[in-house]
Amino acid sequence: MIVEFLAAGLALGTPILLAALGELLVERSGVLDIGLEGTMLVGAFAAAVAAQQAGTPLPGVLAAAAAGVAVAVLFGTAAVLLGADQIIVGTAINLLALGGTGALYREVYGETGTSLVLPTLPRIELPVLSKLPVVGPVLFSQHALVYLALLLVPVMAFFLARTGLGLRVRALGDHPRAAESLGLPVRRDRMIVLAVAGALAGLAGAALSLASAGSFVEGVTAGRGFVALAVVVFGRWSPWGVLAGSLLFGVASALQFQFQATAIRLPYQLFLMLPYVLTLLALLLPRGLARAPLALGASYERD
Amino acid sequence: MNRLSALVLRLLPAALAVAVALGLAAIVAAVGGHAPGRAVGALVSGSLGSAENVADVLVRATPLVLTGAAVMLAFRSGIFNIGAEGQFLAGALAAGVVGTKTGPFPGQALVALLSGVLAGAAWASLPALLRIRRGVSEVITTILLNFVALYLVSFAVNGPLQEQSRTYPQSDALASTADLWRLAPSIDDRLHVGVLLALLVAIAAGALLSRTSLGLRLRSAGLNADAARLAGFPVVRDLALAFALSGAIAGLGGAVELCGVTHRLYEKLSPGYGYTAIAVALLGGLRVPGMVAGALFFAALGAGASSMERTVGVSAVLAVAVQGATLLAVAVLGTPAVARRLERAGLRRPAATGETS
Amino acid sequence: MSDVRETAARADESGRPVLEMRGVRKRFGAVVALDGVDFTARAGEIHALLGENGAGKSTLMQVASGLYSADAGEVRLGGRDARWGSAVEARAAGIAMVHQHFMLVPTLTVAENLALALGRRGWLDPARLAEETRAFADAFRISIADPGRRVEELSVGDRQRVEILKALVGDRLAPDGRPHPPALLVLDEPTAVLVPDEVDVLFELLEGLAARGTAVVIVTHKLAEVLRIADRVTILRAGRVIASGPAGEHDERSLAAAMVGTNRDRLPVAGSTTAGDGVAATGARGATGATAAGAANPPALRVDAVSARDARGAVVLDDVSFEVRPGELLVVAGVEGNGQGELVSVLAGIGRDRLRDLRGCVEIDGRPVARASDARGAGLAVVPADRGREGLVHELSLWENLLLAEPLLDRAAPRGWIDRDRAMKAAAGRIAEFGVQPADPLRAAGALSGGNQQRLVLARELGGELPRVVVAANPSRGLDLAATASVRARLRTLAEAGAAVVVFSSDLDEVEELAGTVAVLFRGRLLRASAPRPARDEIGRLMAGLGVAA
Repeated sequence: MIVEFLAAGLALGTPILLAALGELLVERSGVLDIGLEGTMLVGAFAAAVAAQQAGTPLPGVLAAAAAGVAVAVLFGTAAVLLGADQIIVGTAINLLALGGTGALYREVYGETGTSLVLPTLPRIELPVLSKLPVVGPVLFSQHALVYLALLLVPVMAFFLARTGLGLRVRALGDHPRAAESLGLPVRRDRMIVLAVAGALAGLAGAALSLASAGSFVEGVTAGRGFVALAVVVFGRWSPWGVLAGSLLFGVASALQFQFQATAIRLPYQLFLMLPYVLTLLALLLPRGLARAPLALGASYERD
Repeated sequence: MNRLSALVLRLLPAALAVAVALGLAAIVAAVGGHAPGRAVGALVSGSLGSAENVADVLVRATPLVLTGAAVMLAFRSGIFNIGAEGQFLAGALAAGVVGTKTGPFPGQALVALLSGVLAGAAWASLPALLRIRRGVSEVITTILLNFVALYLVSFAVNGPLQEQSRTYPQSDALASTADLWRLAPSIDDRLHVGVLLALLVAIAAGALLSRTSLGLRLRSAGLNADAARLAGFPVVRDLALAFALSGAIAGLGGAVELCGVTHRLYEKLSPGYGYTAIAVALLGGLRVPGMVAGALFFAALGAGASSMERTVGVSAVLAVAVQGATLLAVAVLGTPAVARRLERAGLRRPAATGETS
Repeated sequence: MSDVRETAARADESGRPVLEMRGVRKRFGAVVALDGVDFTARAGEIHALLGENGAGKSTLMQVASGLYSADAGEVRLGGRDARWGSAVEARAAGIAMVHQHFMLVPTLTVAENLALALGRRGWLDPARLAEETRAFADAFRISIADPGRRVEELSVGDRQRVEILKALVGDRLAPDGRPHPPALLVLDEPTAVLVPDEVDVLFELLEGLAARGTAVVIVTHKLAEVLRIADRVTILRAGRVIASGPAGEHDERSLAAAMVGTNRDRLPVAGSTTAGDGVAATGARGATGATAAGAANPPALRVDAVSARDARGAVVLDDVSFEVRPGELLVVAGVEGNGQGELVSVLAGIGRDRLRDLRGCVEIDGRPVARASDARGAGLAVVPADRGREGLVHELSLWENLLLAEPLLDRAAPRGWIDRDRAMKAAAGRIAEFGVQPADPLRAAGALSGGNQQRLVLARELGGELPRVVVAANPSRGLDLAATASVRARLRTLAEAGAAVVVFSSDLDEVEELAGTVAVLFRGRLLRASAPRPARDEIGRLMAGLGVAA
């Protein structure tokens, strides 16, 4: 029971984890992309269209990543290259994505879209681990994006702490002028980081429409992009913290479904609120934001 | 030359917004196999076609004027309040409690509006506290509180505030004394007093910022607390006040929408007014006349989009995309890189974001 | 390029020109920053580039290091024509620059900052990075802190050594990724932020580098330093070279004369506007000096035993006490970073917001100043040290910025409503009087140049009714000579008219010219000189911390 619960939490937390890892990277480079929700949404929509056309999930996954990159490049062109305000551009991206995918969805699939059943990502049983008693079949029989997200946590942690490129990303976020004085192209590097994060946000969208839902509805992300933003703060800009926050959200969502399924009339909205409230509480603690990148959110222009 | 170019520049974002709206409508219609020309025609006639449509636009513009005023006050005071949505919902929730759980009694509408004002202010106070005491930027915290408010409303209309019959996730209808006065029941029953109230509040907010010493204090405190402190201004109080005022105006918006239009509390009370408000305020250059015009534009767009959906079948949610595209265009037009180019073309002179006109 | 490196490595070629600049011109708009400058730096020498603020020193070195390109003239490095597109190219060619504001990433460790500068790729092992860092430091005989510590945890002197090591070790364009020392090392005002012990360590380091063949240029306006360390000196004034030659041919007097020139009108030393010894400055606890003269005239500003620590817990103000009477002018001399900014904050009533363990009291006319509104209400005018951050709100227009002081705003809006026409008219007059350019009251303050921002702050604080107390930090910073003279004259006039004036200055000329009673702030302590108007070298010695009783 508890194991199944964790498995559900892991699956529900995966889109958050993928998106939050990307956002983590972007924020460590000094950019605050609150257009994450919109990026995820476009990814989910692209995944739905491509997977449906192809009849298999893989093209959907690739299309989602590509669409995520495209949205991130749009964000970056305005907010990084042209230096427009990151918050405003992020808000614009969210509106654009919500309206755009909504309108196109109805044009492509009609008013209700109930007929839209998508090919879902297959479960992959990990060779040895899935044979473990009790835990194995449940925890190690997930779709590929779950494993990818989990794998990315140590990879990202190692990348930031122990590689030359990781140093560069951190320098961009904490002292872009110092990076510039070393001849590093601040804005180009930030665009590259954004593109990577866009791909991850797109994959997060794919994980929503091709796995959890197996379908696409308007506004399918339902605020998960904002949860991912919260998780980055909650996780104090560390990949492991982000993992913890994402799992917490996943388990809270699983609980909520559980309560809705059994007729226990517990207010499930309170569970949905949990990641937001917990993040606010974390911020209320002294030094709650102590690890935020120093140049976060400031656009960079050369003298 | 100068006057003409100034006029051109002022109208540039607006013209761009209209072009974006019509262009997107045509594209989406074409994708879905509808006639682009008909979609565009429906969009235009739906927004401005008749007196009835005009009344519709005015009523639709009201929550945008109020949330837009809230965003304008915050942005000009150096506060990135992305939380007008949550403050709007908090105001509606408070007004809903007053409107359904008390009364009926004379003046109930006024009490409902006041409680909306207070709830909105309170909702903006936590981000204020976090910024003042912990140095936490309000961008993330106001966004987080939008969702807390959303789920709180959802909880209320599924639980304590749910209608007696327990059929739908919505509250009972407000007591009749909590409804706002109709302005001209003979012409259009939808026009409520909140339409005028919104305009007055927006003008008052603009005057406060531009014409009073308090307004100068609020802007100084938010834009540069160090300088304001050295000036001898009570920075903590002013900053908290600016947050609270912004939240109060958005909260009033929620209460007005509830008491004037929907008369019931339900989950989707706001189709994202608080986010549209950012586009409204920025499209209007953070000034009252422009902001009101922006609210009318997006309201007309919404009305036109609904009509387009009914007659041509192109989804009304397209209006949201237009808001996004407009916001993006305004943000890019305001960047130093683009502004320099406009200056060189004689279209813009460098000016203060404070008081310039 | 390779011959340049060899030049740097071989001390026996000492004396060979490394950098040669001929007839360099550079204009910024209407301002001629460099007007046909010749400059040569030779291998193995320490060359001081001396001049007042605005003389063109920094611009010249920025042309040399590739940040600016010259409008005309010739720049040769190691005998070859040298024009580079960026500072990075300049560094690759052998010119390293240490900026006054360090270009280190505070959240990275010392070793990581070095790895970043070297463009290290792939996996980084902290232990090996630390080892490498230590090896570099040993090779250049620079003592640095633990390579594994974050830069933000280091003292200013430690940070500067890391910055120098970074400059010496090389650049990310080095083809072999191995460190190569620069032919030329330029340091911009390297001692501005250092305490004297750290200056000693720095100078030793620079002498060692020069001995091994690097040409070292220090940009400075401190005369004593030039005489102490430089082999050669070049003096710039208003974009032209006034003198260039061996430092041994100069003494402080001749350097000062060359630096400020003869055409500069020495303003007559104002008579005794500061009658008697009104200032009682003490370093010793509780020993507030009693004043005999002027006892009938109670002090307008009284500071009693003020002590404070900064956010990191370091003592920044240590038992500071003094009094200033109406009509007196007190000049607090001191090298920047000795507590001036902190003391200004305390006097202005905002000390509590940025300092810890604030003790003691400040009174204006006998009433305690606990908050800025107390100080403003009592008639304080203050010109803060960091005008961009504390003096102005950049997004607001000029006329609005001219109202940013409580009594001014109250007067402009007695019932809360600002009379815009009147305020605008008043602003236009003030802007014209202080020569703020461009003189458009509707323009945003952030669009002004640094000097004009300073004028705007001065216009607000010194332009209105007679203040009771004036506190001004480096009032002439960023101003041209005429404006400088007029500001100093205005400060004297305000004192003559009956204000109690305190000026903080790191500029010995300014200290002399203001002709007030002098005290020195050194490491948070207020030191009294032997006389109210001590001789120039005595002030200099006190500023440098010499002759301080332990």
